Amino acid sequence: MVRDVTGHEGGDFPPMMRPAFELPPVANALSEPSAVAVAPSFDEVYEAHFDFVWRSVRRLGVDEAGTDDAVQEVFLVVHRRLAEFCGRSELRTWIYGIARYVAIRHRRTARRRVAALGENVDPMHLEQLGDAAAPSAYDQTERGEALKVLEELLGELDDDKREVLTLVELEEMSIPEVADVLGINRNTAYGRLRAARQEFEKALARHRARERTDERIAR
Amino acid sequence: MTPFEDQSGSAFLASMRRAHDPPPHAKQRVRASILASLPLSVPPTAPLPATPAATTVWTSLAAVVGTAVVIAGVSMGAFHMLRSSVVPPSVPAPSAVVVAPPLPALSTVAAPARPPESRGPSPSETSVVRRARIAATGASSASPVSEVSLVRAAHVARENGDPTAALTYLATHARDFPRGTLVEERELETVLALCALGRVDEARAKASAFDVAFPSSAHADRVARSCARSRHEPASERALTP
Repeated sequence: MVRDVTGHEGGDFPPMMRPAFELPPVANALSEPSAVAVAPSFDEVYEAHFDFVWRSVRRLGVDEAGTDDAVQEVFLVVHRRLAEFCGRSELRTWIYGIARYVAIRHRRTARRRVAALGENVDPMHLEQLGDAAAPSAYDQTERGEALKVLEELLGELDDDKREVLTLVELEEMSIPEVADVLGINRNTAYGRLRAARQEFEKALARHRARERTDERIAR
Repeated sequence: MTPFEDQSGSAFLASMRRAHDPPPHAKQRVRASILASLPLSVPPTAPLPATPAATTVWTSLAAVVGTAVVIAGVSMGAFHMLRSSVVPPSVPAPSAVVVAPPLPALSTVAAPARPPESRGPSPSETSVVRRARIAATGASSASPVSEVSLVRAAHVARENGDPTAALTYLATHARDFPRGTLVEERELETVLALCALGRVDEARAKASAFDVAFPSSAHADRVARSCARSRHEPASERALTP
């Protein structure tokens, strides 16, 4: 019976949605025959990978308000499946796959939320569905402004390119690791990265042009 | 002027590598929530550190979130609110350890979902009224509470001796997240809540279904230790025993 990324199988429960990829079973990372295999504990995994999961979930489009819950879900699945980890991939790769799955579900729920409010919702009020707070003190700092610009520029890329770009440029993953995580071959990963970098540069140039125009108008 | 005016795209991206880092104390806060949600098939291997500063930050955040949940619940005027005599489960008292976030109020999750066509603003509402209603109800007005908060609420309710409330939360999870990420946790909590209510036959049926659906689940051991797998014979089986 095929399992999905969270480990769910069939039975008399509703069939689970199958993600676009299947996670390989995970194992301990030791490959030396003489080495004693020691699977990491949940605590160790949590401590080592919490920041990575948080960043991944945010970069995969979960809004600030939903990140806590999304990260919890990721680690609940990790906790449930850690005993099955059998090392065919890196632990971080496996965890990222779970984070991706959870993030997609959260974004889908968020879209249902928007749809449920009806078509007459003023777009201005869509802000209340996500990062609902008024600009915080952080938001108004230079760093916060840069983050907003980053998210705006990444938002101009399609999902495939955005994901490769963030994994390579922000998370500093190698192309082989990215290919493994996304279930694509390396050439495809290289191609997407190249295209993503070009599009990002163009988006940045357009942003600067708009900024200059706004400044001229403001004077 | 943009702070990164002279940077290339790659340089800008490199400068933003830590931009999505978690805020301070998020790690401890999320960990507390996870532990509060776990059926504890596997107990934690290390105790949570006592961090009074983190607790202070967290209890402030918890008050804000809790208030937002209450406001969202009270403002759902278009929903049919079930009047339950069940006292909502109490949130674990703050201690030196970072506590889990507040739980969704039982009345906010017990209400059946509005039909999709009735969601959204009424055509007769003025735009001002509509905006006020949207602002008051916030993100949760037409959407379920999150999966993890429902499972956590059920777990806490059961631990606090209120398995009936736990089943209500779990039924809401089943309704709103039939194919959710935490289906295993939900079904386990259902078995445990039924056991707590003495509904052993139902617990056994649920446990059997659990075994079929999740044969290698990490929670199988916990199900096996429940009333569903005890030597206790339900009344229905005793009647058949010669």
